[in-house]
Amino acid sequence: MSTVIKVENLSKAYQLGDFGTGTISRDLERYWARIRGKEDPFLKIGETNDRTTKGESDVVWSLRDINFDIEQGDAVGIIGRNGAGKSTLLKILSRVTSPTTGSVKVKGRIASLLEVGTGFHPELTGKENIFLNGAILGMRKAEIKRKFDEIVDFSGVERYIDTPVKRYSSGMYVRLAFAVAAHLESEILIVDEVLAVGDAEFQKKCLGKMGDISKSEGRTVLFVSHNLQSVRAICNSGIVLKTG
Amino acid sequence: MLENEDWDIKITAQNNIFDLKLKDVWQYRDLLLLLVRRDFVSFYKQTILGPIWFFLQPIITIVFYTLVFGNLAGIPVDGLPKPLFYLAGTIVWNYFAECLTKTSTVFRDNSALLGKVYFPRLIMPLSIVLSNLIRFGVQFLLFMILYMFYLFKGTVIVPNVFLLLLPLLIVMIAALGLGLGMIISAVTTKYRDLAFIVSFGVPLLMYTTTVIFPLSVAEAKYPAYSWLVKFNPITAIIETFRYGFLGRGSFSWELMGYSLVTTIIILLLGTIIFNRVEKTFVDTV
Repeated sequence: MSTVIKVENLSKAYQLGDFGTGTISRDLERYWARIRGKEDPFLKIGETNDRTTKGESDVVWSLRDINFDIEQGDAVGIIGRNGAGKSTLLKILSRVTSPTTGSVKVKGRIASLLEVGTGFHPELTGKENIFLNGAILGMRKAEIKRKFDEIVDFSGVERYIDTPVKRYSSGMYVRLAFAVAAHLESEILIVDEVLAVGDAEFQKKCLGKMGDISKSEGRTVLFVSHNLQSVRAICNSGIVLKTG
Repeated sequence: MLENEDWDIKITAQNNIFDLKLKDVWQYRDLLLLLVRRDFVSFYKQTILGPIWFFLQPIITIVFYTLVFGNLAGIPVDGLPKPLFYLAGTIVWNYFAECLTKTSTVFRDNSALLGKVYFPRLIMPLSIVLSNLIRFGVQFLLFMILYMFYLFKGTVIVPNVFLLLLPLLIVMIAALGLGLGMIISAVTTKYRDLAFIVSFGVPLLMYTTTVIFPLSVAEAKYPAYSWLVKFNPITAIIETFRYGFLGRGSFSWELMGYSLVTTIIILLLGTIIFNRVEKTFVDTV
């Protein structure tokens, strides 16, 4: 077993409130501090991320000094309350946004499913969207073509495959989207809580698929959920996030 | 635990501004083509005329230009057939304007997508430039049809060797639109003021270049202000295009050189700024 993800001192600060004429002077101040090579003055006053109380400053640390390693083939469940930083962590891992400080090192390809149907174009048909979505998630065209039947079969929406997805029910939408993501050939799969919309049968199918991915194919899965039962069912280790 | 240092991906706060990740872009080339296809197909979905709309837009535009600017206002057009004169300017300007406006809102238009999944961000503006290139190609075809029509009618049109510069002109328009668009898109991620200027400014900017009037008229009528028209780097491109295909108008190496240098500077600047912003824009857009 080797480490595939190594997270060191990872932090991420967010600015609260509205952006407007008031924030530009502060931006200029920060820029000036950076030019002089000084520390960002507004990060020093950052506060821990507690959603329930009113704070003094409007800079919060969504994540603060996170350290962990993940081994190959692990299925890791990430749990925590709303706003604890789970999605922020996943966003950084999948390179959607970058951390304020610290670093993450990754071995292998990452496929992330932070939201179902990202990049689905409502006017395009199910078939066209499978190709588009697959490509957005990093698959090559030939790869998608090879797996096309498998994807359609898994999704169970064959009947509607030549209909624009704007006519789909939300459950069908999720089915198709997860089917594409589940057939990615990446070494690491990141799944945010996305399965809530599917029916019981499909949820079970997805959890089973994720279990397969980590157990029999030796790939790494990171999974965020509020459903402790399903986390327990497929994960062999977990991370609990508390106010970052 | 085995400690080896050959990580595939390193995620840190810093970004090397000159590292364009062109290798990543190449890996995602299928996505680029699919996005172009998406733009193209979704453009005429649920329409009866379908792709014919690509022709109709410029045809209707030049009919109006001919009526209003040509006949009503009576702006001379270097003795060329009016529709041909306007079409030449319009297709070049449209390509530039489309690239610019679409690229300048690329982060905002696609924030839902870009905020949820990673792919090289450069793909997005590149797909805009490519899909508009196809549109330009279609409109250029229309230009050639009209061109042939006037040739058969016996109108004297003398093309010259400068029409061979067409590929360079196309690259320059694309680069200008892309570069300027990327600068604006990067600046508007946090503060959107500039986006307002773009939405009403770009149509107005058309009057500062030689779409509806030839450079010679500007020089004759407003000698003191004609530098303003020349200052717009698109002017040299449109003038060269017209000169090459229609044989009238003007061509000067100085104007072309100025335009080329400006284009290169804007493209470089745009890429650097875009690269700086692409990593964290999702937090502020």
